[in-house]
Amino acid sequence: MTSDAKIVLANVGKTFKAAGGGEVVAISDASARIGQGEFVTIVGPSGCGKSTLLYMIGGFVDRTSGTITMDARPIEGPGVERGIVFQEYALFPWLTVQQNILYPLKRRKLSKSQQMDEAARLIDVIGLGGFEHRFPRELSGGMRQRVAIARTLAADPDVLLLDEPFGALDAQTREIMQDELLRVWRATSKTVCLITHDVTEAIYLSQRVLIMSARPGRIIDEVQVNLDRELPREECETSAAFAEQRNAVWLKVRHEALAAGMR
Amino acid sequence: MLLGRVQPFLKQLLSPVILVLIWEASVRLGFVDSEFLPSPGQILQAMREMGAAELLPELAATLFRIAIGFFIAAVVGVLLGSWMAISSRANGFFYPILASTYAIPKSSFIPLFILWFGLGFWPIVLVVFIACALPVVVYTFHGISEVPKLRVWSALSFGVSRRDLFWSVLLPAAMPEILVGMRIALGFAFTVAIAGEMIVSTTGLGKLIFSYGEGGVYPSMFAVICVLLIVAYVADLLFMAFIDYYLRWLDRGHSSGGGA
Repeated sequence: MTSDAKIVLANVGKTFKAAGGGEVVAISDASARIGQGEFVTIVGPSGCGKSTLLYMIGGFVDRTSGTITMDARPIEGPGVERGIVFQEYALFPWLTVQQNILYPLKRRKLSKSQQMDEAARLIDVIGLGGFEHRFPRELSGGMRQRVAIARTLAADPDVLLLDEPFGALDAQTREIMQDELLRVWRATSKTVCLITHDVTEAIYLSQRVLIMSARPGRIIDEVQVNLDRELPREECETSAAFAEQRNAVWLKVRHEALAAGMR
Repeated sequence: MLLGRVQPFLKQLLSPVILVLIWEASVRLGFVDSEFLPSPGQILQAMREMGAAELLPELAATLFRIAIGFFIAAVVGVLLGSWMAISSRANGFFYPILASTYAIPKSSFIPLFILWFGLGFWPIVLVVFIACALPVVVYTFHGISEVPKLRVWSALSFGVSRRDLFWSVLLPAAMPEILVGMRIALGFAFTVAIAGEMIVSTTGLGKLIFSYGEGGVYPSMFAVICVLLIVAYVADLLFMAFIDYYLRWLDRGHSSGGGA
């Protein structure tokens, strides 16, 4: 056990009651460690329970067995130190862009002017200046997701939990948001745990990729990503090293997806 | 611009105008005896004779009872419906009471309320309250129960208390449903207030309708009914305008209830 582990999952299991009686084992015996300030992605075939695992780290869903700790303390519910961005539908539609971002700010110990300054700064970061007083329904899907990310950052959590946050975005917006996330991560030394089914995204963004098995989900493998992070994106993504590591992860996920298909 | 706003309103007037013309024609051509059904012209005449001096105090009395009963029902209904949605024990306790009164005409409580409160203001307010509370409770219950869990989880991850969660997320998220319940309640309020006034009251439009009906002064009776009709219709239009403004954030094109 190294001392700088931020989040430790030990033999975590989750069993759901099935609709027609009986039980479904969604996650079984999942173990992993996420270091302080580390950027980790979890990939796996669809239905493997990656989102459920993230919700358990968030404290929104109870685990059936095992332990999850953060800073060596067990996680027993949601907390401000763990921020989460969902795939979609999590913004408050009755609040404007600015009010959504102010929501967590108002619940921190900040003065009124600090709240307004921080909201203005975050709106600037996500490039939505001029849209402060729009409601979510007046925004495109990409803009909404940028607001959702800004709102989570406004709570200033130690750990960012991201559940396929870019899945619903178009390709261009996705790349911009990915680079923005990398910039925030580098600037703030937050710990990031991102769920995705996009292997290219996983390799491009993270330091380490955890691979989940088909249901019942378990962390079956991990790949340490070694890339020259100084390279511009297009050179990085077209390098031989990128392709090699991407293929390694892709083959493992594909193997699991096929295994899931055969059951 | 103005024409665009007025046009849908004009379209709504088409069918009432045709109805009134057919009505007037049937009385004038003698298909209907004006002793039994006065013509719109006679009704208008009766309305002029009564004038604001006679109608307005009665209208004010009725509207005041409706406003008080409706307001109390809105507050109590939202709180009770929310409590039932949040606590399954509260739901288990109150549901049988509410379900059993669902099919009862609320005006049948009036004799009991007269026994308790005597004639006048409170029996009417109470029956308006009972009639209005039920739809507000039911729609609030559904609205609060169906708040998407991701919105609740988002709030929880910002460290909100239970009280804060209710006022800042559950209630605003449920407002589209709650307002539908209140609109239905407003219609009920007019119905039972008039019925109540016809039975117990010495003032109000209901009392006026009843006494003109009993006295056989049908043009005047119809005149009061027409006033009631117009007032109830305008009240509904105003409430709808309020809903449209209040829910201006709502993504009505989206079936999942409000977008991201």
